Amino acid sequence: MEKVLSNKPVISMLIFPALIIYCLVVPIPVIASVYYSFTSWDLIGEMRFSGLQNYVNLFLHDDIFRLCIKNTVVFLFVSILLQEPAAFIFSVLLTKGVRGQKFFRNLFFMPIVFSGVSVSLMFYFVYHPDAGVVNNLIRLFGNKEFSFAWLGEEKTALLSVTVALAWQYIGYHMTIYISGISSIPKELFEAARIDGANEWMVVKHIIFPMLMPMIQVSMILITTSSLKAFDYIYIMTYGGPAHASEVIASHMYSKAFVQLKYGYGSAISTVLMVLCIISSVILTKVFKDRVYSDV
Amino acid sequence: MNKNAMLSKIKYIFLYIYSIIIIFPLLFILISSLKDNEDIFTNPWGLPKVYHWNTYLQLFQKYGMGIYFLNSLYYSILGCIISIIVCTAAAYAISRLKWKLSGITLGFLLLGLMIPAHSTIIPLFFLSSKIGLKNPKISLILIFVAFSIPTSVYILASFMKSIPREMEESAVIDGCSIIGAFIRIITPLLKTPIATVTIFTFLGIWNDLLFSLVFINKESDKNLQLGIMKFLGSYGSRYGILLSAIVVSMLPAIIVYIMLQDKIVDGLTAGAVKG
Repeated sequence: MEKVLSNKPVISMLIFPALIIYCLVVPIPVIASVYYSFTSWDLIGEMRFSGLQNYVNLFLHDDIFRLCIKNTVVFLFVSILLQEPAAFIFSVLLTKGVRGQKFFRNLFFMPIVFSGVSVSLMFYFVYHPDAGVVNNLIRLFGNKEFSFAWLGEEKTALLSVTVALAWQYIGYHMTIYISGISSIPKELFEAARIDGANEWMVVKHIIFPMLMPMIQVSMILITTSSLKAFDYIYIMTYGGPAHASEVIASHMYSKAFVQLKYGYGSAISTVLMVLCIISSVILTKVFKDRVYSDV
Repeated sequence: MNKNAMLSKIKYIFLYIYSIIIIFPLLFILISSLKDNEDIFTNPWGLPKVYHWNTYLQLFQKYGMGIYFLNSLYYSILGCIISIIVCTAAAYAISRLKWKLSGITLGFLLLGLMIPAHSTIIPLFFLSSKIGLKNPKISLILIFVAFSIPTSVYILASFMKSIPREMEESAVIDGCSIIGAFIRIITPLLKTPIATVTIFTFLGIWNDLLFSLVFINKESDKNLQLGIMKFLGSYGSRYGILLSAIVVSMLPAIIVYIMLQDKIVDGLTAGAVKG
């Protein structure tokens, strides 16, 4: 049996298709991309090695890139603030056996099956200055002449996009938390009830600490997806007005595929990748310490 | 007791308000999509004065919505099939066959989870034309498959580990080859994890924007996402068309979700939590 199970040709035949496709599409291009980032290369010029020039330009001379970093960080923190507490509260409410529990769970989760493009286009209309839902609601309850371009003003463009994102993702994080709460042993809740703990104490001392691994998953997801955010920005604001909502990914896209500066675009995408890896590693570390000290 | 009743009322108020927040914009665009421009601007809250069902007909007859749909189906279905075949095979080799590098290979595949698609797209753009994949459809599908590999292999491999070893052993002793045992004994047990990875992969491909934007430039290759985007630009002044395009893009998602909601909820959360 051992011999059959370690048959090299069979193993290669099974593993290679996946391995080759994966290598061609992920690791090899990643290495190529890091290499391109050290070259000056655009549509007209030849590919020339230019050392750290792209990175120097990026960090010292590219004001828009600095704005992108700031916007991406704002985007990330606002997304966490909008999504995480709401997701947690709904998950607690919807694991206590309220009437219509299943209906609410499935309804809140539903937006995740839509594409980013559909949701972005929908919110483009929701925010429309003349015909949009938001301004019409304000006109209904207050100022009849109210008109405001939520996506067209520097102060509100980025925040409006994060609200659209929250509409789509709160239910998703809620579901991750629900799956965590349902795996907490029932005895813990019973013991707490016998000891006379009220609901708030159950949430604080049982649900929250036991949910740490799920909070970690959800935080890593929200962080990496905010760093990579592209669809929503590209459609709702195209980075505008005046780059007020430009993020790293949209900047990379316009440098590489609109202005055709491939070397420079590769430098931006390399920075993005490093940020994704660092933040996942940091979050994993932070939660590792917490999980062991709290439980 | 009174306080408890109050609390439970507040609970429901929260849940109902959020339900309205989810449903309301969907309903609003559905109703607005049947109005003409004047109606949209002057009568935002009422039902349409005249129901313009023909915008929906025009979407398909005049603006090629049908082709976008078929293309999206083509990318998603073909991508799923290829992904499931290569991932099941790889997961089987990793989880049940004996070779030294199996753990390292899995780790190598899982590294892909940390890599943003953006860091591969510029080289892929050149690579695909260089190695002779002139047909962007094939490159695109291979790219989608590759990005589904880490999660899918992981989910399939962890499921296969839980299947008792005796399953193949008895088959092999009865004279079955190891490939035969894999196909005839193991794959029929994989319905649950395959459903999970199918949902995950299908939605990933169906909803992609970035790769499609870079790789597709022919009108006849466009998928649904690129298709509906064009209504924002050139037809922006006719809102009925834009809105009905959004409705058409969302409706199948809603219908499939209502039919398969539990499977989809499980599939997407398992994909995230395990991956």
